[in-house]
Amino acid sequence: MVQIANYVHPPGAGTLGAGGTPTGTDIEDNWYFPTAASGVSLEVINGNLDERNLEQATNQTFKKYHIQRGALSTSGAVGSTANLDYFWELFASLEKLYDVPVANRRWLPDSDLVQYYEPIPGANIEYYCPYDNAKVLLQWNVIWFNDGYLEAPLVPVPTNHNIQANVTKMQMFYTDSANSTEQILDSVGNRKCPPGFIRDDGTLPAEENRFPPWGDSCLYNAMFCRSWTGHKLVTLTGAGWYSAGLRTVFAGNANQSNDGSISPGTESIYQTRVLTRSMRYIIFKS
Amino acid sequence: MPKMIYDFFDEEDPFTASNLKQRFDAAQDAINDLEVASALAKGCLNDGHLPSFLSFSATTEFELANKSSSLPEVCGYGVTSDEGTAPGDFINGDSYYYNQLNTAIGFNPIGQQEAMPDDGVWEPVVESGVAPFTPLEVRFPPTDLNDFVNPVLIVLMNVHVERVAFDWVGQNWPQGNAMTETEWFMANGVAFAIQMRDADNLTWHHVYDRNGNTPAPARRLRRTERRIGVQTLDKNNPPADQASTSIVPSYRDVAIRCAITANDLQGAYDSNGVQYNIDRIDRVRGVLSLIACTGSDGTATPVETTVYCAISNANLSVLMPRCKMRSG
Repeated sequence: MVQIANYVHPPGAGTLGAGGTPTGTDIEDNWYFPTAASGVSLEVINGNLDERNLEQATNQTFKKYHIQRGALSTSGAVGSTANLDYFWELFASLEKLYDVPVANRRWLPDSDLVQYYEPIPGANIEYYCPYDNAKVLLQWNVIWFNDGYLEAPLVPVPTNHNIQANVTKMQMFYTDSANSTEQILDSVGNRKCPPGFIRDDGTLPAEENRFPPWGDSCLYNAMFCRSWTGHKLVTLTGAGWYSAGLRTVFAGNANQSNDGSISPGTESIYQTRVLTRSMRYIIFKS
Repeated sequence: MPKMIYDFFDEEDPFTASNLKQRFDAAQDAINDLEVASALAKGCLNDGHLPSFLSFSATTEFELANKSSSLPEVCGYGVTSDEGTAPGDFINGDSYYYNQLNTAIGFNPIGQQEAMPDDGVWEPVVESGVAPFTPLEVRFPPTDLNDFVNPVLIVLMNVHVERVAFDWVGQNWPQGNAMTETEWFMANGVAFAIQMRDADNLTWHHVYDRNGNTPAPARRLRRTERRIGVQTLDKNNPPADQASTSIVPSYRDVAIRCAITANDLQGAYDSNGVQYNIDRIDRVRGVLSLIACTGSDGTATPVETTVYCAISNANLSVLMPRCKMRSG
């Protein structure tokens, strides 16, 4: 608000001047006359005082304890370290993360993929924004890997884009309007984890397609764990509840026979394991 | 601060202009002349009284950060190392980082970059599309970080490295006593960093670690630098050209978190390795440098390499908080 420049009915003038006849309303207005633009009544003491109400002559400094807790920012976090295992059945209706034909592969567009994502407990959060206008800085960490096998390159290499099969994708979602239940897919907030194994079903890739440091006999490659330390700065519109979090997806597409044995489909990830993960927010009043 | 002195009207006091004015003026004077020490209670200032804790904040992001192709899997950037003995002779590439060939003792891949000014060329991360390419850059009003109000800039950058591949120029895989395969991988790759712009001279500068080594010329460490090694591990089938892809995807996240302070402005360096003081900065951007290391065929004959990379999902955020730097 502002310093009281004057009252609605200036004392000493008009009905409040000498010989005037002030009414009850005139007095009441000077006590309480809230306006958005200027201070014209003693109503400004209702939380609307600002720096112009300070004594001007002295060098005055505010202390941190003058500021109400949560007046400028608020924050929170969730996280978890227990392993989370996602099995192929969850995504069994998703055949591939890339489109067909196999040659000249492209990643599926988000619109075709969004229905398959599964949320990750420990990396999803709901939070309350107390400010009408604010920005939130979201930050997260996640480590994950999958047990798919590395696919040999498609030849000829320059013609095919060689999008790697058996990839587990991690995707960030968030809301930017108060109390919305529809999360937005963050177009730049996604990462992929390549498969962690060379095939061990009797059809190992040809020797020339086995690459160090895996070597000929090493089937598991520890390098194929992926970590993601992401961030997103979001403008929030209105006080209320918001949410943000990570979800994951991979192509199940395995075939299960009557005896329960499982054989790989076009893409073959049986399991993706999510390790440590967290989601944090800091809201700044605008 | 004057106390608010309010004389209650006695029963017989008239509501005259002067009597009313006296009481209204007393209230107005008191409210317009507050003193922090005596008038403000603990926790009295709420979000309605205070400006934002951030005097500036903004973000830039794009999905594809690949200069020559809209496909993230295609390695768009490419640079070839210099087979000459003089680092800094960029013969063919956008940028490269170091060239560690010591002809006196044969090939000497110690994996260390050259000192300034031969420490490589950096270029901005840019969005795919039609030129001019949008850089991964945030602009803000020229700011002196010695200013009490804005003494620090918080910068966050993320980039997704889809592929990093390399190839030999006109050679097969080096044999004999040349670098082992692992050493090749350690040497070649791509580095990312944060740069700030001098608002007065419009020059870009790295954020250096002031505790780095200081021989002349300085071998300073870029405090914001992160690096990804090449992932092409198929020695028999390296990528043939920049349109090809490596067999093994990289899929690695690069995350840089950095606080730029007044010390960093005073501890900047120019391209010749000379200390350089910046008064004000007005932009921050993300940059990359491809690391193409000259190799050997086993007989100390230099062999050029070419490095390619493809990146996506880049975002850069800058926050400028109102705060006070704690000294000591």
